[in-house]
Amino acid sequence: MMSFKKGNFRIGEAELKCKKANGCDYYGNPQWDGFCSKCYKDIQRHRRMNASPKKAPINKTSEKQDLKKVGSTEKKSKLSYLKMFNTIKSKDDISEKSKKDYDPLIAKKLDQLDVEYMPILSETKSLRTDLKKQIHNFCQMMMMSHLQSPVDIQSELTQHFYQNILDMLNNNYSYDELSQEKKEQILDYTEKYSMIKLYKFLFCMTLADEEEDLAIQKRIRQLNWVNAKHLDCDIDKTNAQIIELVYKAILELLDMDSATAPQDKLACVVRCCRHIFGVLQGGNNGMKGPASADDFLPVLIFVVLKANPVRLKSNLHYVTRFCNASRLMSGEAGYYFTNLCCAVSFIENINAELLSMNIEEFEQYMNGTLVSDTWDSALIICEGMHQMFEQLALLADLKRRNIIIVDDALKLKNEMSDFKDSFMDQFAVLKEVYTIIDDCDETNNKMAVSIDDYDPLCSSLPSWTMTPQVIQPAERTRTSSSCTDVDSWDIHSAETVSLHSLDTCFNTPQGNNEISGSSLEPTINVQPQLDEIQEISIQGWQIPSIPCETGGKEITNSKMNTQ
Amino acid sequence: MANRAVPQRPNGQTPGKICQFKLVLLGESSVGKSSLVLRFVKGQFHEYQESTIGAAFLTQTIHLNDVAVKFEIWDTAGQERYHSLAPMYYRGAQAAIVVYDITNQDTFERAKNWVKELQRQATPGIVIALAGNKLDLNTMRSVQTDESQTYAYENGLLFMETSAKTSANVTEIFKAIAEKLPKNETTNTAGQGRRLVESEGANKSLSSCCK
Repeated sequence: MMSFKKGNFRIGEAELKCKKANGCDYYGNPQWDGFCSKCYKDIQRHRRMNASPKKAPINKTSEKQDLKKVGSTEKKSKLSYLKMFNTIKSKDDISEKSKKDYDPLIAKKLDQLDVEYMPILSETKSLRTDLKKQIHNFCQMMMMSHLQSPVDIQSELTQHFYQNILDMLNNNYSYDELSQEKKEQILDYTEKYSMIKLYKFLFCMTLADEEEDLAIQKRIRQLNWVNAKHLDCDIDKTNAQIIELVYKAILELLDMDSATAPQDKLACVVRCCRHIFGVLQGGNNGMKGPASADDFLPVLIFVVLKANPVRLKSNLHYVTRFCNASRLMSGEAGYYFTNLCCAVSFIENINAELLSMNIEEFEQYMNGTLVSDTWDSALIICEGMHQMFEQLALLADLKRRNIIIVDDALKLKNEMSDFKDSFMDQFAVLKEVYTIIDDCDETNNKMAVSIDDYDPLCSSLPSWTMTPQVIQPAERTRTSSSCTDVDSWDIHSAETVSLHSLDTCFNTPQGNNEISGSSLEPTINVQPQLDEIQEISIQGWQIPSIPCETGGKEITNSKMNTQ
Repeated sequence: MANRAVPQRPNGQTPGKICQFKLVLLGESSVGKSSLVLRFVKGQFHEYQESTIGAAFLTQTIHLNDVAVKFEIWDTAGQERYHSLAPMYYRGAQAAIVVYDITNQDTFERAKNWVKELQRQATPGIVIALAGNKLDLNTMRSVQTDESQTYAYENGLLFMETSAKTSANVTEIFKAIAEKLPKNETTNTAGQGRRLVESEGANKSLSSCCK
């Protein structure tokens, strides 16, 4: 195999061996330009280093031009081309492109798909990774080739890919356990996943498709006068239920354009056709027996005419090309799809004879000289009207929901103002309480000051003012009620203290007097005076403990006494 | 594992080989194409299948020895104006039943045209059966059995006179087709259409893969 490719390589001496001039003993590989893996790696590194200045500007130019540029400079330097091909095209270009093209909607759809098929995919160990790898490779290939190769080739490639996956499932030993249904589902998944991913590249890809779309659309517009009678359809215009079913069928057909995976498009066709059978059976009552194709096809043609779906031809082409061929040739979906194709083909070839009317009349209708009756006229504008009604319904729904939202918002507003009021009330109460506390604070402060005042007078007791800091932290909460420790006055203790402090409010003036009174003669007898304060006011209780906590002070006190 | 893979066949037949064939129904409208096929499908199941809201597309399986033959029956619109669309339907079909009304000579002439067209354009090797329907109206017959029999013989067709109403020869004609269809090799003549699912051992599923 390798020798056939000989002409492609510049150094063609050793056909199978590594192409490195120095004679590397290993075998080469065409994927690695005929080098062995090691030599190729080295050469790649070289190239990368040489070509790095060129790379930067190219990267900035637009991708498509980039590819062409790369193609044109190919012959000049194959080395740099290969380098660019490897680095830019396969990595940057595709990944950037794919990032750009995978809008969040597609990503979301793919995620949903993954979730939906998770139970089947996770059944066999290697299946998921195998499948992902295959799909990924296929998508990459299709993305790279979608500009160059004609549609037919792409379609062929796709069918080939489906066949490959089927072969993999059928022949690979590890998938023997899977039942046929599961294999079908896996195929389904493969098809859906890759087609959703590639939809942008594959749908309506040629100018010819677009022209056909416009042609058929114009044609159907011209034929808007064709009514059920012309087609020998058996539609009961007076039955609201049946008219509703006709509308439903039309809607399903219109929906086909918005589906991405071929199966989803087919599903739309199937739903549309089922509605048509509903029409033929006379609504839900089922007054008539199962309808045959003789009745079915005319109604389908009628529905297609009245729906005039956008991009009809593109959709049909897309499904024909990229849907698994076996799905189209058999099965219910295949049957209905064939019918749809037939209907479109009929519409394209419609003439006076086919509608069993004379040519003059047909021409008059086509010119617009003759017009059809009321319900048919209504259906003529059905295409627009129905959508308008749909949107009106949507708007009504939105309006309804908006009203609910406004109501809720008002309710919320009221609740908030209520809350605000109650909060303010509570706040007012709390404020009152705090004013009282503040008042107490102030009076306490005064007393504290008076104690402080007392200190400088007792110049012989330097440790007196430091008393609160010396007390152990555990004790502090207890001592917080003390007026001397203003800093530790906190909210936690405020409540318990407030009652006391109210008491003290009354007592403090006396206590104050006592202290201030005693402060006049500190040297005389400290101990009894402290006892006296303890008896009078609560905040005084801790004062006797001071000597206990600070033994040193007692000494100073006693020293003081001796003095 | 083996249990899980046991195919769920609606009629509980022992799993063997399943061959699926696409059969297309041709014939003038009002000759009773759909009645015929409804009788065939209904007769065996006594009820419509879930998806049977119309008689345009139906499936039915019959058993020949150990082979299950699944017919996928595609009805076509018989009106003359849709005649040109027929190739789209019979593309990839392995069998066709051309139906005519024994009380109406015109429908027999149309049937002859269908046969000619099929032999010219359809899948090579397609099995064609000619069915003279409305045998219950024997008294009003205008197409003689001999005439049709000779025509069928000359053109290598299967031929039976049937009655959807009395169900005479209905299952028989399908059985005859099933017998004539090649079941051994993968009938891939159409390139795409066929589906032939074979079981490759007891622990493999056999049910057909088409929905």
